[in-house]
Amino acid sequence: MKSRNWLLRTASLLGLVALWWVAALIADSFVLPSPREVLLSFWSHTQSGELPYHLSATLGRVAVSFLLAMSIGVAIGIFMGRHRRLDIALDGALVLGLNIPALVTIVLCYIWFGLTDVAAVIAVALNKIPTVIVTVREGARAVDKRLLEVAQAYRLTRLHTLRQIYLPQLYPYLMAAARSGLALIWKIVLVVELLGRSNGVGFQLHTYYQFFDITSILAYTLAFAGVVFLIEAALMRPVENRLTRWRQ
Amino acid sequence: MTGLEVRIDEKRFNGKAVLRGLEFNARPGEFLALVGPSGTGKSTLLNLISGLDHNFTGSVSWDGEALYMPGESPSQLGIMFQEPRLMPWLTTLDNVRLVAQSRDASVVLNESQVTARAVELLREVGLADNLNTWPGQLSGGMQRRAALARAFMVSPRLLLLDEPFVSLDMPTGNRLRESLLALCQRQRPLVIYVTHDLREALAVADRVLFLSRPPARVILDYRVELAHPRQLEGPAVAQLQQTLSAQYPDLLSGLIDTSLSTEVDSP
Repeated sequence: MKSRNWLLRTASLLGLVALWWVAALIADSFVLPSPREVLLSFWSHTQSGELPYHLSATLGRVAVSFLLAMSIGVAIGIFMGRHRRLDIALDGALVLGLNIPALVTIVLCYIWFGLTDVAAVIAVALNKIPTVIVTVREGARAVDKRLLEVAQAYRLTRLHTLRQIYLPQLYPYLMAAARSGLALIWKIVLVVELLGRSNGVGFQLHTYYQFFDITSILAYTLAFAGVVFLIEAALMRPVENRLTRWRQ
Repeated sequence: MTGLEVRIDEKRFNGKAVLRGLEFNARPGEFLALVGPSGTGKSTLLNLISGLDHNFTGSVSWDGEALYMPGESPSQLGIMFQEPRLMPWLTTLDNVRLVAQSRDASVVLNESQVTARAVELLREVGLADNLNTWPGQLSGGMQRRAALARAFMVSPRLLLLDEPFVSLDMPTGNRLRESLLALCQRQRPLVIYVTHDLREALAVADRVLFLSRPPARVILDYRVELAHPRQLEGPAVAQLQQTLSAQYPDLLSGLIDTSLSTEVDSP
């Protein structure tokens, strides 16, 4: 069963590549290079050390802003889910935060904090925090009070109540927030780099755009997609499987 | 005094009085059954005694100390709710081990002692083969066994049971009641066993407290003199039930006015 799932995933990816190849053959134009050309470009950018350098700069920003957004968003989300008055008080700000265009926060952060990595990371985190809050708040509202009564009656310590009774109920929501969070952060980090950093994948894409170097743009996209799949397969799915094994 | 002293002046729920003037005492090691028509606030009363709900007037004291700090339950309290309330993400063994991590220093054992004790209790309730099973894979009866083992994990001095074996088939219910009585024999906690089934109360308890309709109070405090072991379906219990029904025909509908009460507050 498991191996068949894997087969299906691979087959669908290969199908996508095949479609691309056929389209490139038909178009026969420099604006749609073939997978072969992109792969070669990817290889030469990697060998020159340029792609690993920019990719790691981007990865660093993604990691920091992801951790920042998750920890702040989870804390606020839990509080808002538990305390009705706080929820009402912060709800307006939350709606605003959810709807402010990413571009506005990014530009403002650069103007207020300067063209620095700190400003870049803050801008990305600010864009992500509201969606984390909304997801986690939903989870905190759904926490089963009857199980918390068990903890209270048996006088469990706060730490054990949190770790063994409270958080396990939040895990599905935390996983959802992490997944959608990572996806959003990738996208915003690139915009932040394009607008105000001198390295990173976003900066490189901007450069290649100016040269109309579509092969390089796709080569970077390929590297990017590779990293995303790696994180999903090596981190997200194993963690999720472990946390939900009691459901099987 | 030692033991439990319950003096509920009034407990309101959504503006309606559920309990009023409900009073009783119980000594350590006693086995009490609380019987009353459904909807009389028996579960509410257990919540007041367990400290889960402290929004009432009156007092509950345990060994002469008024209960409890708000949000606090008494130490060494064992409890079984109407539903098993196991953590679905913990194995059966871990569910029982969980409650050893309480704030009370007196119950703290080291890791292997905790495990050994939990395994021992689970064996005693007949779950030796299900230590590493998720609760979701256990039958309803087995989940209640696990909850029973969990309640004894804390070496309870006070044990509150809210219709713990309701809606189980007769043989399963009987086996669980036997396990409960065997564990109580050894550890001698003060037990309060809530049920709506008079026969069940007569089969397990030393004393049966009958509650009136809401606002509920104790209308009869009856000492059960039957020798153990008793059979729930046996002739002795059936005969006692008949005697009681003849003596107090309206007892279980909560309409009775016995010498214990001075006012009738039925409609």
